[in-house]
Amino acid sequence: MKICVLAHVKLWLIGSVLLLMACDARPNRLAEKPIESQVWAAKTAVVAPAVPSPPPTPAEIYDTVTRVLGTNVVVEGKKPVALTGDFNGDSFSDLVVVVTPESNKLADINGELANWQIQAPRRAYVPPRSAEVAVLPNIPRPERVKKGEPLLLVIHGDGPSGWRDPLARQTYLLREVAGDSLEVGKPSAALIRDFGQFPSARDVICETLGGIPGVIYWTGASYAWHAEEQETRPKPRFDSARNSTDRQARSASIALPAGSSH
Amino acid sequence: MRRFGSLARYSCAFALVIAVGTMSIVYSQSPTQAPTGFETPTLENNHGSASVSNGMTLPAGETFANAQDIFEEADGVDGSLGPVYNARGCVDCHQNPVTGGISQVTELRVGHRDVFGNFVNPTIVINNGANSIPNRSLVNDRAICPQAQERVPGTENIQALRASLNVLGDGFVEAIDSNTLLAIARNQPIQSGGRIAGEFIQVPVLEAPGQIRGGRFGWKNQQASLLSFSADAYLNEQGVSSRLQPNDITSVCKNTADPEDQNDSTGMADIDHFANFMRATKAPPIDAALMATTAAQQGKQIFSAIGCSICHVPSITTAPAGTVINGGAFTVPAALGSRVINPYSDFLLHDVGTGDGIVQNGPQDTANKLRTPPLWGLRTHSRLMHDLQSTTRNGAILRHGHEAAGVISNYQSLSTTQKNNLITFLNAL
Repeated sequence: MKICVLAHVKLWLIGSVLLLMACDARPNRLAEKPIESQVWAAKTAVVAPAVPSPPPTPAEIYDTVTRVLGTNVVVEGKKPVALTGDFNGDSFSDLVVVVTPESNKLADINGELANWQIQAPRRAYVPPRSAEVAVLPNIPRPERVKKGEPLLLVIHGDGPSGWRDPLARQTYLLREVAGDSLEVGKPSAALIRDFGQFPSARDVICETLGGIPGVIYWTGASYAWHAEEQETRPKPRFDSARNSTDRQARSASIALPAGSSH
Repeated sequence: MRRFGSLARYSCAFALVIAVGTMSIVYSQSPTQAPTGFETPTLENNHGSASVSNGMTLPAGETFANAQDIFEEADGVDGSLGPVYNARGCVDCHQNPVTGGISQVTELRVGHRDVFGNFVNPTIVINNGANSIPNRSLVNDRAICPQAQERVPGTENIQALRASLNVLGDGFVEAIDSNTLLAIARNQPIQSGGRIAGEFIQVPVLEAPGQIRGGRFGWKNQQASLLSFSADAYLNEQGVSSRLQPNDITSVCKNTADPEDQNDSTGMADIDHFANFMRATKAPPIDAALMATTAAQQGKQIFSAIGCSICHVPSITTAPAGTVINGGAFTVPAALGSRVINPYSDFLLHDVGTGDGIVQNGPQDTANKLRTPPLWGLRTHSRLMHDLQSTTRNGAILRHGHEAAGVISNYQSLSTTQKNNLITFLNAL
């Protein structure tokens, strides 16, 4: 009997506490637990390459283009025109190849959800330097690849293997800039004057377009064309990265598509 | 015996009370969905009068309409605006489709690197060389007089445009426990085979001197509390100093005394009203009709299956009501506590190959990292990514690289139908 009464008293006590907690209008007093380290980040598996990658072989170029673009484009010639360098400044080796579209694949190439981005560097938006107010242009109309037009295909590298990595699939098809005398170079004084120094070391694609020397460079969001004044360009950093056999294969100029001179 | 029977009856009744009480406690701690809605329309007159808050109890003297009214207030040269500034009111940059949303406005940040590769803030000379603004990456586009106008020095070779951000639902984001964000960061390498590793940084809480907290606001996670963010933006975007940012950017053309933002009749300053407004907004809503379609539902599954959700985290639960955060300066109120939100962000810094080279409150390795932008409200965005340089969903996805390379490779392997479904899902956010 005494035990039963005690049990009931206990029940009353527990009940009272729970009731008080439930009825308490004030929120519970909790505090965000302090975190000792000011910064926390795991190391990613992707690290910068220690040495420049070797020049590409024609077979590697064909395989890479097929891996990224399937049969949508054709690599020109048995000795494809190709350059390698770090064009987007992320320290990973990128690949540039001159290609032409397969005429029966234009719908796929220009598809709204294609795995590549089609850009026209000569119409790229580059924020004006030192402008006090920069107004973004109207949203540009989508670029569409035309039948037979030569394109510069740029594949951004990923990790130490660069463009050879199977995950290297960030791809740009550049219209109206497949010119002559393609070479890897460094940003010229004129480009730095007009664009500003780049936030990281990078290469540029040097070429002659419609008789005008210039470079294709990465703005951070797109590739843009910069007409160069006649001046001595800095020597390429990765001279060995350029496929020397390409220079001979590049002797014949590629015709520019109509309307590319503006 | 009869007395014991009576005791037993009371005990039974009390047992019922215990059960109800226990259920009440459990219920009060159970996470519930945060309210959503674009319900802060920008009106020409009677600002805030048609708005609906998330139900948060505001401080005495404050109303949601009043807080929104002050958020929309335009400062002028006859008041505390400038001397250097980007906009006259918060709403100028946070408005689409309702007050507190996004906009097409970008701001300019610049700097350079020293010989060791470290980012260095510029010193910007103004007033024909007579004055300078030191150690500040933000370059204001506007000034109240020509002498104070900032121009980018030729030495500053890192230049970046950054879009202004949505603040709707940010009260819930503030109420996320820092340890929750840290746990997400710790889990990402496991989920991604070591490829993805969000960086968690802690930054000073201005209203709690000496205290730090997990950053979550701004493209660089440079702020951890909405009051700190308000004071920061008020000074740097509108040129108005406050008790938390007591010194104006420059004295050139300045004719007001610091701090300019003083308490009003409610006992609160503008920065308090801004924080109240943001804390009391609902989270951006989904397009329920579109989300209910088969395409969107399949797209939602694909979003997770290919790995987008490792960083664009679909669901986070806020800290329980009553949790003291912001270094002791704020307590999570009932309306914000234990709420499930769907921000589609981890609020961590990542390198996806689009980094802008700028360092703010974080360490040097954050130069090319940006906070995962929350995707809630994405359907209201016409231009995408931090610089607004992507105009299509597909284009924005394809710009992701580095940490996201594996996920994007998965995306590129999808069929056109699957991609369409994924984008339908994104358009429903």
